[in-house]
Amino acid sequence: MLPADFGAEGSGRPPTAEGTPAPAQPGAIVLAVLAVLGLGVAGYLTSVHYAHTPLACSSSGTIDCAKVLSSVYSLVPGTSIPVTLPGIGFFLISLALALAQLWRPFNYGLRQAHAAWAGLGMLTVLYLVFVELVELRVICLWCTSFHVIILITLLMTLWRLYPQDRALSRP
Amino acid sequence: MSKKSMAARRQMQSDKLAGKPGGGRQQAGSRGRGHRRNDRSGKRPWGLISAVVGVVAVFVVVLLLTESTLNSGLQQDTQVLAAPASLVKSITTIPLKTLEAVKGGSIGNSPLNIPSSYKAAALSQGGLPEIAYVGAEYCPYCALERWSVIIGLSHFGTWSDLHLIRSSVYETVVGASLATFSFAHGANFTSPYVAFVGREFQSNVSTDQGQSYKTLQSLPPAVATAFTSIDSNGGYPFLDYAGRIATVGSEAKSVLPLQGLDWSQVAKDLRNPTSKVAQEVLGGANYVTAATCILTDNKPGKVCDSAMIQKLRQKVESSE
Repeated sequence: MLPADFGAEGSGRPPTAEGTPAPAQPGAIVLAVLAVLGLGVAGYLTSVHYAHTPLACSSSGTIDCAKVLSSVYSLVPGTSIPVTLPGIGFFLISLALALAQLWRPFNYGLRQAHAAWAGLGMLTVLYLVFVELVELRVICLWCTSFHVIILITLLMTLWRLYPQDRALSRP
Repeated sequence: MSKKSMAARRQMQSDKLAGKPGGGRQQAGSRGRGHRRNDRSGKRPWGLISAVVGVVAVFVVVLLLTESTLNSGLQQDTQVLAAPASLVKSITTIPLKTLEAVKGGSIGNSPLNIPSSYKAAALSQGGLPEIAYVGAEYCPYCALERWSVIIGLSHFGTWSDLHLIRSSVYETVVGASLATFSFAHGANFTSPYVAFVGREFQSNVSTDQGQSYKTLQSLPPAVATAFTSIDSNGGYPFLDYAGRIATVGSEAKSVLPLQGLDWSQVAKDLRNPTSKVAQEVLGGANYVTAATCILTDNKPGKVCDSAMIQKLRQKVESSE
């Protein structure tokens, strides 16, 4: 339920007295950095897929990125599109939401949207972890870093569903 | 009534008109609630965050336990059975019109001319050009390639003592337990045009749940040299056509069409040129035939003179 303190934020209007500078948004900055990191990993894996270049990762035993990334599960079902491409899309939207929160720090709707988006990403991560552990029985370290970034993003967005400081509350 | 008490009453009436819930004491109470609300708003959602982390942790633990259970429940099928003559006859008598309808099929890795820089040894046996196959019984791509090799070479000679095996149950990434043949266990190919050496370097028997497989056959020295020099990664399957042409890795893009089918179902699908099985297996077989026609100088004519084979042959000859 929306806390009463956020009544004015749906409009993007700061509830603090006029002229009060917007508080610093380290949380939004962290979310933007996480999105950039995610874009880097997804971009690298996508370039490896299309350029057919060797993957910087172990390829023996339980850790085997190549085995995961060359499996049928590495493609969007029914297409030849690597799943890392939708991953790039996910982090682009995540970055846009983080930047929007820097621009509109009092907009609670943006925080809710970001949490919902990260939750959607986390559901996808749970499916991909299932594929790795049960279907393929190997772990891809690059994919795991991808999954950890999404998990931290989700936790961060949940954290930010509550006001960061008194400046976000009605005086 | 004193001026002070009248002023207080006016204030209460004013508050009522403004919709405020009560008088001075209630206002004080409202301020109190507001203060507590501000305190609550400052709290962090540790419960929610702990719940998310907990759910993810439990999910991963359950998956690990499930994976362990499923893995220990996988049953290796390491039986080696003599191939029924009816099955061999069925797949070696596929009508020419079916093969011509498939053409190159959905093959993604056709045979290539071996560059002269490799200085590959000219493989031969008894005066005949030799075709060498190196694979492994566990390997799912080899499982599909063998169907193509058997069908492709059947136009030039006769197979005997072929045996049925399944690829490894643990190769779930590419395709598990695929119905196929083995070139070990006494398989033989006789032909007036070409000689054939088929070696299964490893079996489909694993004692460590697919991490490694037992060695099955050694390679003749000339074949070993060709295998290690041309196929520097040592990947299966490997086909060498007399040191002139080679296929490194699987011809087929995917072995999934074979998944879940037994030998008779594969044989049945091979009669339908539009089936995915026919596209992969017969497409590969046609390339095997075309590459072999290069070695035999287009003999026998009834096979090599086919316009479809000639087209594939030109593609192989023009490759680098």
